[in-house]
Amino acid sequence: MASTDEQKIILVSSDGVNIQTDRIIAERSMLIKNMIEDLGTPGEEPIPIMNVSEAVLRKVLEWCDHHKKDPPPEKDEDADTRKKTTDIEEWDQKFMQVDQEMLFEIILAANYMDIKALLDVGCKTVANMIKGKSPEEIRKTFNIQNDFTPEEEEQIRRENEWAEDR
Amino acid sequence: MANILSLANETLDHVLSYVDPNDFPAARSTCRRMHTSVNERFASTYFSTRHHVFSMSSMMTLYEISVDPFFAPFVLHIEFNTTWTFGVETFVYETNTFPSDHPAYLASKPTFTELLGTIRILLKALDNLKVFQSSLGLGFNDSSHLGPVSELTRLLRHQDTKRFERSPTGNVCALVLSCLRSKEISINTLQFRVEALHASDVRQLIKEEKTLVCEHDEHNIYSICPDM
Repeated sequence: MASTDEQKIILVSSDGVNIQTDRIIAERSMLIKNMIEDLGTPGEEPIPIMNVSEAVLRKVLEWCDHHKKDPPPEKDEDADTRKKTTDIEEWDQKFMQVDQEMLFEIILAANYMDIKALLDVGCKTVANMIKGKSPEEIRKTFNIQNDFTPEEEEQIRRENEWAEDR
Repeated sequence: MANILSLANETLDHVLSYVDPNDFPAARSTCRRMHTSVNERFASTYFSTRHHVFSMSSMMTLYEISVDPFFAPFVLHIEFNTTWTFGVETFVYETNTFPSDHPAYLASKPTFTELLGTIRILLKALDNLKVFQSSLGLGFNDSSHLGPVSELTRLLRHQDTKRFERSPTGNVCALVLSCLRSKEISINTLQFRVEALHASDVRQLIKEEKTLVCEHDEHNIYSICPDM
């Protein structure tokens, strides 16, 4: 019987495409890891990844492959250290150089597949896109509609002034 | 199409946990969803410790915050700088207007240009905050302990500082203390950080207020027992 490192599994994307990958790669996803443990027959049954299309799933697996040997995060300590920095390592920065739709699809997939480290990288990338921008620039960057009334805008402006004067 | 607003609240919150606090004001100004998502972080960052000066407009800002049902509960500690006086700040803070028909304004109008007037507004603000907090921390600082006030107020950034007179720190402390005591406002920490020049004022004040238990360190930071 193949060792865990060598085992292959098959994932099925939301658009019905079978993707074969190494178990060690796929198990960066806690969703998949738990499903494999629950099924107890790794490799025999394709695992459906209901909410993730083929293109996004392949991209996610590319990240998992690069990070397959990363040490698993420690639960509570992880939450603290993750919050401290928005630094993103170089490979991840390049990985995240995708169009915005793909960026948010990756974030949605990382959340669904329970891949915390990838979710962090995605969220940090978006946070860095907000950095130093004016409200109008943020709207433009993310194609957000300004849905405030003039009165609401005035109130927000005043509250921001309160913050400035703290 | 996936975009930032298609993220679930929990995921959007995760994104915002990495946003620099300096970007909170801009982020909350983009749209209602972002506003809602970032508002608590914004409030706890900018409102949990407030820094104010004894000027009419600065106290009015504190008053406005104290009547705001969203922001008032976030105010836990207020630091005051006693060095800068009123006089010219009306145009420094000209965008920060107080409704002139407001009862607080009308009640205090006759003495608005005096220290007592600003303290009245302060007391009204503290009275309002009592609705949201069981107790507050207060700190009073003079020119030797300017702290963030020196960096943040437009007073110092845009004005000729020579135009401001130094207010008598001891008088401010005495007024505030006696007012606080009469109002029975619960204070959990109270500190005076004063330079040696004003330390005697504070010492005298504490001597007069015989029930106060006070400690001070080598930096002239006076901590008043919070049982007042």
